[in-house]
Amino acid sequence: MPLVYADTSALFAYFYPLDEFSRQVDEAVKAQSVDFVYWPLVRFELRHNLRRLKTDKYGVIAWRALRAGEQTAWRLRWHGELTADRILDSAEELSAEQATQVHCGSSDVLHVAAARRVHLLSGLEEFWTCDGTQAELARKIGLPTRLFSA
Amino acid sequence: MRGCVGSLDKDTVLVSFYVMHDITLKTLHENTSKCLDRVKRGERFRVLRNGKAGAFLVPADEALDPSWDVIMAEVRAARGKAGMTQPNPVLAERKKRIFGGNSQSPSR
Repeated sequence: MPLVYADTSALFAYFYPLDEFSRQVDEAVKAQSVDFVYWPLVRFELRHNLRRLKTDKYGVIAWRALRAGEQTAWRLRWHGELTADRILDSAEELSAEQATQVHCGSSDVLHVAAARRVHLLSGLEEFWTCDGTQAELARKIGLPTRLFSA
Repeated sequence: MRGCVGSLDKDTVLVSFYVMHDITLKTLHENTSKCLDRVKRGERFRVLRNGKAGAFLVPADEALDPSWDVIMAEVRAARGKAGMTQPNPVLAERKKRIFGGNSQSPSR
């Protein structure tokens, strides 16, 4: 199964049916049958944003699907080697290399640094994001990148 | 290894992550007994044949996972019915943090 690092913007869109990028991400998943890198930052951002939507019925549907997905061995592949201290160091390096050239926020850099680490360790099929600036950074450091645009 | 990863809140405590290890057919063939011992202790394996998933090894006393299509069925049905879409909140939050709500970023 191809391994993809989906930034939280893309993973959120995959689970939340009303999201502007939801259809595009779902079609990409169906076409390639990918596994997603899952680690504490993605889990936290994804859950945080879905929790905030648990007041609407679509948010509840998304939350249920995520929780069911987390409890199976499908798709969401837990990466134990992606620990906060390592990725913060990698992000610091990446920031030193690119901060003046690409106008990314700090969380954008964290995700790209994590994706770069997975790419080096075990090979990554693609980096998926809905965030243009983040895609620019990912491409700049050589990650095969897919940008979903509304 | 099946284990509870993190314990940040009530939701997280309740979630067990079934971490699945990939194993090639060759490795399985050479270490069948060891692999089965590990499965008995609760670990799960995805057996790869020519680089592609061919089978799963899971403890016999565990229920099999529902398929991903089953997990996502409700989301897909809702997506089909939903009319209006909503802006992605992850992007909105980042944009706000970087540009203070002043949408001067050409590429977002």
